[in-house]
Amino acid sequence: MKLTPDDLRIRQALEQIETPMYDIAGAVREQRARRSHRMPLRSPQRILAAVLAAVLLTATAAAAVVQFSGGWNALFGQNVMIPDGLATPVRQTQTIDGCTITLEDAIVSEDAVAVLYSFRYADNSTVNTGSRITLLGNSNLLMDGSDEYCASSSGIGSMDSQNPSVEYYYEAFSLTEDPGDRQLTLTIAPASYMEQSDTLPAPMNLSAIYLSHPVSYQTEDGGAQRLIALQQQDCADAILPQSYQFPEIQFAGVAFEGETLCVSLSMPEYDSYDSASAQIESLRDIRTNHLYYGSLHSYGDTDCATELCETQFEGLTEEDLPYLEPQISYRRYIPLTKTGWSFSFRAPSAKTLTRELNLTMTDGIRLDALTITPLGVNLSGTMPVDPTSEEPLYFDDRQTPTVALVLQDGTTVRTVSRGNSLSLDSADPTTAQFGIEYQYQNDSESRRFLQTETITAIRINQFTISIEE
Amino acid sequence: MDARPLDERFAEGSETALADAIALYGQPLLRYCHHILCDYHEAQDAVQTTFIKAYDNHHRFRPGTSLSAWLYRLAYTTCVDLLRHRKRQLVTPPPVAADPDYIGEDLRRALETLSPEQRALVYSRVIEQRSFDALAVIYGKPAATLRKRYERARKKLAQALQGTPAERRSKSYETHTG
Repeated sequence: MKLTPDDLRIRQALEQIETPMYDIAGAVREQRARRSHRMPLRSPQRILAAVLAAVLLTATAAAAVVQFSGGWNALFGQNVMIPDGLATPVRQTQTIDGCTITLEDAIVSEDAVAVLYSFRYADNSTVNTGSRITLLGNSNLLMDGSDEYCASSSGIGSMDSQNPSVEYYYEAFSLTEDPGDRQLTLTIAPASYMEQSDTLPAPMNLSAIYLSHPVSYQTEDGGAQRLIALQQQDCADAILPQSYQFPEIQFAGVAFEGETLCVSLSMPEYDSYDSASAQIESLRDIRTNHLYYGSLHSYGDTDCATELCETQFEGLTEEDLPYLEPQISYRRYIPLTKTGWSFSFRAPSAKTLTRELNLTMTDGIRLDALTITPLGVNLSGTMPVDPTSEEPLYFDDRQTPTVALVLQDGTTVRTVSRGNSLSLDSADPTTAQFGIEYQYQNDSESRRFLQTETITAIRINQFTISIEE
Repeated sequence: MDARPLDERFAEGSETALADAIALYGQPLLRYCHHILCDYHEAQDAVQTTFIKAYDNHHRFRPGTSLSAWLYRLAYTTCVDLLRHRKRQLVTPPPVAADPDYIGEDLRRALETLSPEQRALVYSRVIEQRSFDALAVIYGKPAATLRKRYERARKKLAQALQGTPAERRSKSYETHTG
């Protein structure tokens, strides 16, 4: 593709936008687990096998983990390894309105802080059940009282598969300054819980509603236009299954956007702390009992008072409307605590190693820099790209270099790649810059952490680089 | 190990295919959402939602068509939904979040003169260098329409960038490297 001078100017400006790497797979996994009510991720047989394996661990490995929270095992596998002296046991507990959070341990390095904390109800009841999900507010890490040093964060949460009254969270905050021995404060916003109803049928005549005032949206139509158009439809007979409990949630109407069927509910603006919402999960064809699942979209009107929760279905036509029955689920968000939590601690920072590299791999990939931290390894470099290609720019997993660490005791630690970032070189359209993040693995299911002082060499594909002090 | 193409496995709802799709398209989609939303943290939410929507609707994806285009379309609609949400939230204070967005203020102001669709088109065209035919698959609009819309967006953004520090920086970078 030939770029005009304006295109090139714009490209150079846009390339100044930095998009840091993010553990998308982890976030998707967590959100899906949360949505499916955090069912244990491992089968009982595998848990039993893992417990037996843990009992049979060597004394060295057992000693390495025994002093830390069981949350490390719940989050990172039964055989997770944390070297002595790397994690700082914080063990601060605060109970607010019957909800207890314990900041269990922290790993502080020269450019990041990882924290592990747990949530439980003071009465030790189950944290999440099939219809009730506990939601903690956003967390943040302050350094000397300021959040300006925190560049990004990523985290995961998981229930303890053997103890449903505890849920563990791990968050790693990347920092712009060394946090060693400075006052660190972890804040967690107030908690709420979500009650989700079963999916309930909402018998109504969608065809009659549509024909009372046929509505066709334009793609550009926003919430206000959609709401105004739907107000002309006669929805008086469309009674929702829990209208007695949530009278503010109403059926809004039926419309088409091109060939897409749009079926909507309207409700007051809601948040995930204290409110209620509903959505049309599917449409049941009463002729065949087949359920059609759609994609969810939300719109707002101009004064922010009303939320239009629209479910879009492709492949359904006006002729199908008399036979379609909406299936609705409700969500109610109920505050658990009036205030949030705040924990302050200090810890020395573990060493981070950086090295410049000059390695050429296959496919023209060049590695320029290496960072080794207690949490993992980051590689950065450049790779050739075809400026005429119409494919999106991506880093093929097959091109990801294999990385392993050699320790002072002669053992080798393998790593897994947890994500990569890629951006075009502003000076050269045939080159892209990349970064790859790796985590240390103890075995196929368990992560480990490392004191960088114990590393003597790193192997990147066929190259071995000595790590000298 | 299943050696079938990713699109086939994805359409069947394979968990491994979801993981493969995230590994392959996750970061490019994150950058795409970041350029549309001009907010890194919202872009994280958008890309996460995109993959969850995609997996929930895997039965709607037709193998043999472009999985990449389908994911970009989902990501685009997710970003537009988020922006609609944000528009409403902006009316009510407080606008908190002092987290960095990794976009200079002048560049953000220039980008915000464009509509979300224009930002998406500009990114797809000048950074990802997609053809208008490829864009037509993503945005579901004729290539000729998209070409006109892109040209309008390009003109507007070029004007908005004129003389901004963002452009001065890129020009001086060009001088030093070129």
